[in-house]
Amino acid sequence: MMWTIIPPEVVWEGVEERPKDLMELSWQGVQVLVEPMQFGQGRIVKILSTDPRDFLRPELAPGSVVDLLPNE
Amino acid sequence: MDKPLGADKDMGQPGMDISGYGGLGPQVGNGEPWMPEAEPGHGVPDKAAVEGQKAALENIKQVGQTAVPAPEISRIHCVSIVGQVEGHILLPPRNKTTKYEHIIPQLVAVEQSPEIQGVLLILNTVGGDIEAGLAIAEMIKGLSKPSVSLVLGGGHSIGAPIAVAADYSFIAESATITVHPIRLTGLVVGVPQTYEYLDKMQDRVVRFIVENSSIAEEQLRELMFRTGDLMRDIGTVLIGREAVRVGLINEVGGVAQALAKLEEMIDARAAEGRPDHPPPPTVWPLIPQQAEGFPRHGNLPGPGGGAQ
Repeated sequence: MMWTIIPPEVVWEGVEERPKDLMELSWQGVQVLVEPMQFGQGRIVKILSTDPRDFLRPELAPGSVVDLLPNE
Repeated sequence: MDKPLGADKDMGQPGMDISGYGGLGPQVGNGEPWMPEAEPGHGVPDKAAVEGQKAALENIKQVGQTAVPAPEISRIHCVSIVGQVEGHILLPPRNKTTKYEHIIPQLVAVEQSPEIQGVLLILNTVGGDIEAGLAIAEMIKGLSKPSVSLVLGGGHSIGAPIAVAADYSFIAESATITVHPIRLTGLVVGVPQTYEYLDKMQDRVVRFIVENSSIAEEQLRELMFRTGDLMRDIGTVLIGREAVRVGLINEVGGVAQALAKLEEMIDARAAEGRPDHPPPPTVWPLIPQQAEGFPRHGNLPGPGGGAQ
């Protein structure tokens, strides 16, 4: 139930668009949900790990871009 | 500052290297082009520093937040509540959202971390999901560590309970809080119980605000259901000191006052000698790893482990 000063038609605009494909994977040992991007990168959607410390890591914050391919 | 730039008596003293300092723009006194501070003899900025800056910029671009302060640098954790507080439905991508599924475990980590000793909550929100907002508010209220909130821009609708959930609250002079009734939108089942449900939701929010601020329930409801203040709508917009006057927020101030208050509360708490880790409820026996550091999974006592 929404309680906001923004009109509902603005909030929900585009809600019917197809949701993006997401991947669940382990990034550096942390289970995350990722939106795949180009060049082997992915954008973190959310952390699935149950370790609270993982939520303090800025590189894992939702929206940050991570390399999905192993470096070497 | 009525002194001209460079008039400081320490500046330009003989033997003092001022290149790269003083904010004099692209050129400094000696005619050399301004360069970012570099390692002497290298001419290239420290690689790690550049990487760090890049990461911080990327962070601002992607999530509108600067990096979470590393525990060894700051004892204060900063949580920002921006845009819509997202609830159980993923909002369309045009909305800027605060995701409770990230904030809540983060606050769990804050409570557990031995390094973090206080939380600064910064709000600039237009409202959002009631359950998610109340969940965040209850998490902040439930922290054993001191918390201070600062409303900048706006702390509307569900932002109000989140702002008052902190131990002490500030509002910027120009910031606003819209106090208005909750409402149901979309397809609604038109039965009397629908009204009762709406009333119960309203009560939850009103009760939380009243219990966690010094506003009286009658006054909050009066502000909430006032007509004539909002154009063609019900409610009130409280600007800066008005929110303080009605008792919703503790004080008008900015980031300096909020941080000073938080530091003061942290020091007071340390002086009281309260442990950073309050002993857990007696469900689990206290074992050394849990008492000292940050428990990882698997540190919980196994069958037969630990003394009751």
